Amino acid sequence: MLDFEDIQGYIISGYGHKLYSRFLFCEIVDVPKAQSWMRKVIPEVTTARQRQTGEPKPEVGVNLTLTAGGLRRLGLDRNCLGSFPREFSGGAEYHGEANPMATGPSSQLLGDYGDSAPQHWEFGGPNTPPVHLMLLLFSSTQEALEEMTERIGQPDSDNGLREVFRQDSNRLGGREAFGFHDGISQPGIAGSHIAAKPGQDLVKAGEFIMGYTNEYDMVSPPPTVDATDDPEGLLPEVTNSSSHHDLGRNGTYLSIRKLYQDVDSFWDFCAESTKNADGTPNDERKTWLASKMIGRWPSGAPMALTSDKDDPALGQDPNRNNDFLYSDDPKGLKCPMGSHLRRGNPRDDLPPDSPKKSVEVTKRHRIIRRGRPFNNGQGKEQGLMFMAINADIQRQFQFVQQTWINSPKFGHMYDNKDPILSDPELLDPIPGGSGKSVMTIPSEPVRLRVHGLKRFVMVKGGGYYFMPSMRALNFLASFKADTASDDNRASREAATASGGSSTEAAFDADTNETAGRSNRMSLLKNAWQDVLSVGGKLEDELHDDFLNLREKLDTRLEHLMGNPGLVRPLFKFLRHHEPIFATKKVGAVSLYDDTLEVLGNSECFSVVDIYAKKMRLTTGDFVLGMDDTERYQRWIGWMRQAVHPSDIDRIRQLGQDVAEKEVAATAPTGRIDFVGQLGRHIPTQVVGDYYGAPGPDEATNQGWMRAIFREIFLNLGNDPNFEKEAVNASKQLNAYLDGVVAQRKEQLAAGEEIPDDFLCRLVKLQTNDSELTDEIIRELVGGTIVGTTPTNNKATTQALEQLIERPDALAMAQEAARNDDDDLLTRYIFEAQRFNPQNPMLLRHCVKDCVVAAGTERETEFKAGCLVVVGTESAMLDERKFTNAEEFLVTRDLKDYILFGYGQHTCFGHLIATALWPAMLKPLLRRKNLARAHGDDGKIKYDGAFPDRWILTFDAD
Amino acid sequence: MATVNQFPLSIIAEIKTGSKEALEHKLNAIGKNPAGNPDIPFSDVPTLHFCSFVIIDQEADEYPTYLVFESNHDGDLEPHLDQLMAIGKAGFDSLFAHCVGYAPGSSADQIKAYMRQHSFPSAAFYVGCRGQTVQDIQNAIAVREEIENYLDAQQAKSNLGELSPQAILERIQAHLGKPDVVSPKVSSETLSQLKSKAMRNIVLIALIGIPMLILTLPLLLLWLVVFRLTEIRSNHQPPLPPLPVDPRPYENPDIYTISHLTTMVAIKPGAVRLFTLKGVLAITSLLAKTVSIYGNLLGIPTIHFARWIMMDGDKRLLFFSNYDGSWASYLGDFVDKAKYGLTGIWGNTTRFPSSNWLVLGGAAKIIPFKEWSREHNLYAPVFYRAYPSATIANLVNDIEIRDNVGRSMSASEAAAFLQRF
Repeated sequence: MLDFEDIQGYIISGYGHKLYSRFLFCEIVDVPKAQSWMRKVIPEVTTARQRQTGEPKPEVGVNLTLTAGGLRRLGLDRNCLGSFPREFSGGAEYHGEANPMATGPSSQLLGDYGDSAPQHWEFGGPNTPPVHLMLLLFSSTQEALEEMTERIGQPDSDNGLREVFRQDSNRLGGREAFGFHDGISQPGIAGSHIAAKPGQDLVKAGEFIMGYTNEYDMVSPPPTVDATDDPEGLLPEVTNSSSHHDLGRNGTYLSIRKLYQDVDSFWDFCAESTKNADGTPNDERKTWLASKMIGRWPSGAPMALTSDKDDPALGQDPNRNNDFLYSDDPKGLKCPMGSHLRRGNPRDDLPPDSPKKSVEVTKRHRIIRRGRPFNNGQGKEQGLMFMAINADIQRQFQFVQQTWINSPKFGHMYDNKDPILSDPELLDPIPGGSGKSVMTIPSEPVRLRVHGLKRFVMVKGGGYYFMPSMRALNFLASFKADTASDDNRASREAATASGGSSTEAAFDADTNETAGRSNRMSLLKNAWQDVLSVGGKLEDELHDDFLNLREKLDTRLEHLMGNPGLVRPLFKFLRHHEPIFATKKVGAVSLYDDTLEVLGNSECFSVVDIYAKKMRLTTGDFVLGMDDTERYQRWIGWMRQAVHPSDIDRIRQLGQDVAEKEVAATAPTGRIDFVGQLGRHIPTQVVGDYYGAPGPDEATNQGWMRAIFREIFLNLGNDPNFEKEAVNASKQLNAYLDGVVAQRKEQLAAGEEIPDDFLCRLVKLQTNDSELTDEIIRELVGGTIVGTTPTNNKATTQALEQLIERPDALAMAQEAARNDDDDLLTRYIFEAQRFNPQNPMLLRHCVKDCVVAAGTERETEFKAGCLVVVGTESAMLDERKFTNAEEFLVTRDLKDYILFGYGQHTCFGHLIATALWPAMLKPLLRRKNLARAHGDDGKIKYDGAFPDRWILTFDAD
Repeated sequence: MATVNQFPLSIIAEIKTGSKEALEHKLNAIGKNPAGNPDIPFSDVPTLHFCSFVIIDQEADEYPTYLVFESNHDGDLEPHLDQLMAIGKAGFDSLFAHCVGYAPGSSADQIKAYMRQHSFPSAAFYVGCRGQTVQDIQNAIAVREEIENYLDAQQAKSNLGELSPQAILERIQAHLGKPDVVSPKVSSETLSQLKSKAMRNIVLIALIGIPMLILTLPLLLLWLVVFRLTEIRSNHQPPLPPLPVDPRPYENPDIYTISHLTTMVAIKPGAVRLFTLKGVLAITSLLAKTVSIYGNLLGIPTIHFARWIMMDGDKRLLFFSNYDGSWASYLGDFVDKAKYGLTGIWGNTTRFPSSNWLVLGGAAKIIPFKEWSREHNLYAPVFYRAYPSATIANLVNDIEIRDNVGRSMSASEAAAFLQRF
């Protein structure tokens, strides 16, 4: 017997008649306030009792869920988190911030790479704020939805919440975005008192609700809390154990995915693949192919029952449209084995098992789909908020996604992935994997194979959400963490509650000198673990395996660069306690002198391993990837000959002209996208005008540079998709540059005038220097321009943000701009960047044993093979060099800043950038009341590590 | 041509104190490219289906750290060892140099002698595609791919139109008869022959086994009583705290094709357990040799090779397998299809979820079972596969196609044959 009053209603019913819904994803910023908000919401939560026949249906549906991060934020300890399945919690060592759906192997198993990779997600990804709880609201009218949001839902600071993401949805259309009747096949819950429809499988309640017998005839071990944490006894006792209380009973998990459907691409593909022999479209065949891929016709009529043509009467009839099996069609002649329908629920045909065994096995992997379609205007953004109810995330949602949907080997096939939900362009997503998926349509006498599938459905967000029982909700809303029991945790919690980073708190808590060294080392390890998200057990030797750790650092590099909150506290700790941190495999320097020493010693600390290979793969060899060899000297010599001292004025003028034009164009509205119109636009103009490579158009050129830069500098983890993109981009860029070089040479040979730019100067140099081949010219130009736009964009955007954060400094900088005092303005820009530099750290590879800081008390030897993280940002916060480092002072010596690296590989463009920055910012700084735009527009929106959009306002003309 | 059978080679050598890290470093380097690394380029070994290196960590003071090399190979051991030496003598030398009792710089013959000395017999061994050499398997894959591409090309030109299945088959046969196209090499023992052999063996086993059961019934009952008492006693022991999990096996999962699972567990103490385990493994071995001979082991259709080895004076049980699909689906398959067999074997080892009457409970407790498996998985820094993207189900179909495509068929046979694509 199900305990209906304790079960949230959404588990039993999808509230089909309530056409409007809203999903609010929130971060908990103030635990006591959020708990008091929860206590207010709990009486409104719809229970399963209200969904029973005979009970009056409530006007609105309200349900509440929490992530593992949310439970941790509420103060539940590691023992409790560890009692949850690791798919949900990330394991007992979970630190509470990363979303387990978005990390490491899990993400790969689910197929979330490329455009679907978590770094591009709208919520739940590494670049979005953490989600702690999610409120689900349902209603029959939009007005009631708004009213309800107003009354209980406001995720604002009064309620201790911050809204991270909101998804509205309505079901007015009735069909999913591709145009198919959806949501027909759902397992019934045994004992739920809802009569099964013909063809509906009745599955044991334990598959969907914790605490009940499942399809293995077992009750899964529940997540628990220590009995002492529940003194009021709000939770039931765990069977056979009075020391623990059962947090899971009558609860479940929601596996959530925001799926974006590319409707045009889907139907274009179907049309293209079914054209008549004479090339004319064949609409009938188009629908037929789409339906074969789905497994149902648009009306919902199953292929298994009508494989020739659609039968709308059948499709609409709930007593017939789900009443079919597959064992009479073992070859898939009616409904293809590879179709989405057959994969999602193989019913009685899972070869090689008998029909009976197949049903038994299938029932162990069923999910209840509670998705809602969304359509954010004019069909541009449409898709499905997919929500699966399952009591065992790994055995149900993950298994289906991995073994039935994504596997090319499903149903004994060879190379068929789900044509709808998976990425068919990569058969096997392992590094080096190759091959593409096909859609096999079994036919007589012999099958048809459809090639050329694309990814039609992209993942844009997701996570695992615990939907607690009513009792568990009450418990969570009143839970008080016993802070005395775990000092470290308490300090972390205090910091997180006040909005700071947990890592920072851990360091601050430990700055007193009484703490022993071993304690500090363990904190350091913890910090590394936070930063690198090592997960799993805490190894005694953190650096056991250089390559593995390297990969961990690498895959997170883009995230680290875009997230000063992670890098800064770690280096602060290092500066205070382990200024030179060296193990055999990885190390770091954090003080000013040591940073210069490492960067200045390219003989011991090489860049070759870090960059050379990726450069060769994309733009070709470049000076940044070379040691100080004869070849390097020749190459850098050519580059130096191709730039002239007078160029600085030319670039300054160019930058200022463009900036003035752009700012003037926006002056009537007083609103500007700093990134799109200045930060990214101006350096691209420099690439075109000064370096001589404008590209076919600006957007294409920016796209090339972005893809290649990301591959060389940020994709050290070798995401094959990034690599693919970059290789593609560089093919195009190289072909383009070859074309320009050839054209310029012809013009020069014909005695025509050619422009005075970097590329043309190299072409001219070539006439006296046979060693400077066309290929080298292309490589020199390619290597130079790739670093231009992304870096200058990020530098100027972040510098301006730092100024805007400091009203006094901003006012002074604006004054300097109005007075045309470029030198003073440069000081402001440099100092601003010290607080958030474009690149907070550099990597070097130690190639032979080398002592750093010799003769000082921190003298330390780095061993050959060690990866050294050079904290350039940290060096600029070193009190010994930058006194009063926390203060914004423009009196510092410009040559002390390390914004461009140091030593052999100092940025080639540093003089150009120094001239360009004030020119880029000046016209805008001269405007009155320069400020961020209100709301989200006014926050810098990042694409990976790089600013993508940032709206500022000023007084309109 | 006579059938060439497949055999397991398991070399287990103790690693010298302090040498593990260097050895692991070397193995990681080889593992980056098992097929073509310069030390031991495994793809140059024509008799090699799969192989792996595994390091078994020291356990308290009881057991030392071991290096394991295991391979699944065609035909006799001697030529296989010769081939390994031919391509990787220096590589093996540099690895064994970290092992106890090995003289660095040994000759090929000395290395082979060392390998033989340190090789362990398998208590049970299973082969997914019996009698198929690496070349046979690669031929079957190539034949099917050739036909698929041929059919695609013909269909793109609408050349198959209204042809009958027999006519299509004839075209395929004509295509395969062309000189520059891969030609099918038919197996000496086809799958249908193996199936009838298995059926015959089942009857034989029943004929011999049932009278034996009856004869030994009093002894069996005695064993059952003693075993059950042992079981009840061990079920009353307090549960042990969880072991740390090595995350490496899950970090770069080969998601869809062939993976490697190695588990090392301690056998529960006492003669009753050991006797029972040996009995169950003997039965498993018998079934693997006689009944499970055409693509599935005890109902699990996703295993290429599997072996069980008793180690350390029958104190520990080592299991190797190469399987299709994800770890989660493999474990799920285990439980869905072979939970009794699984519990029958590993129920006799420590930390396994508690079982009753030898085969009940245990693996059926799916969450604790998966956790148990996670805790005992060993990481294989080197894992080589000769045909990395073919599942057993694929291979069975490939072999059927290859062995039959040359035959003349009736209309209905030809129609059924074409549905294999």
